[in-house]
Amino acid sequence: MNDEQLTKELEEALAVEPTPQFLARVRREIEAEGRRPAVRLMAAGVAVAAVILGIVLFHPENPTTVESSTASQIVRPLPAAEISITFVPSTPTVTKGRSTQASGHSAQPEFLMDLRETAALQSFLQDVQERKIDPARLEGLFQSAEKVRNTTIAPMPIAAIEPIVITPLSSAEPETGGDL
Amino acid sequence: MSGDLAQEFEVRLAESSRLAFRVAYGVLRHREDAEDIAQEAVTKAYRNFARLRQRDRFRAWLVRITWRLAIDLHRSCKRRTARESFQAPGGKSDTAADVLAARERSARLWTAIDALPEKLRIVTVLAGIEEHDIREVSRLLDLPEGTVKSRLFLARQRLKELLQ
Repeated sequence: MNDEQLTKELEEALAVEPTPQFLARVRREIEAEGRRPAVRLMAAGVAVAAVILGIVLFHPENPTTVESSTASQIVRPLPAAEISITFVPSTPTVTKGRSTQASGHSAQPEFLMDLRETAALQSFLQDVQERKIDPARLEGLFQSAEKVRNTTIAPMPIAAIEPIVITPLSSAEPETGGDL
Repeated sequence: MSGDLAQEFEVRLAESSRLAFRVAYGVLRHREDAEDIAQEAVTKAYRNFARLRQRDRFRAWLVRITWRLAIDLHRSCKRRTARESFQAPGGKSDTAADVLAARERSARLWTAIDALPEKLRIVTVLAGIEEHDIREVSRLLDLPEGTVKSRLFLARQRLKELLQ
């Protein structure tokens, strides 16, 4: 095949005409495209209005604002009444050796307790419920524990030890080399 | 788009839409797909026409948009089977044997074109469309004429080898 034949074949292969409707279709599409900015603008307006409406309708009554940056001012200690620990023995959430008492979506703070402490506390409560432990006697136990805690242990007196005196070696005669 | 700009685009569209179709057809060889791609390319060009600084580069710009879109579609539809591999040359006097022979030649040619690397394929297709000369192809591809010439030479050599 020579150059001329190849050129002819290529031109024939590419001499394809679009359908008569093609240009009209393109023009229609362009006209539609020209109208689209107005539609887009309208859609954007509707979206903005919806967002504003949403904010107005679902605006929280007490918005949370952080005014201070110090930790002591940000963290507000909860009153004791608000704190409650609930144990769910059947489904504890254990993460890396720790029992997580998560309150789900509640506003309550999350408590992290050691698994062994939880087990000990559960066992204690069970014993109280089963009356293996008399609650009346616990008060006395707590008082004696308190007493022990308040006891001050006097430091042991340091025994008097005589200082060791090492006397320097002294000889009456001057040191001389010995006879070999 | 302002009225003047729209009018200018209309002029460009009239002179370039067929080129866009043929470029797409050169990749896809499927009339409907080529029309869809050409339409998409023209619409894309319309959207960005106001930002085009050199308006006389419109054809080149449109060719590149069309080529890219067509190549993307071609790659995504490589499993397509219903390709038109034949553009019937000649007139009504062709016998069935002539038509069959032309069909076979065309199929072989397209297979050979498809086997070319993309750089060589685009110069081949553009040079085959509307009798574009090297200068026109270099303008359309924004390449030096020497580059187009060497690529075209290489492409033809390969095509000839493949069609032997």
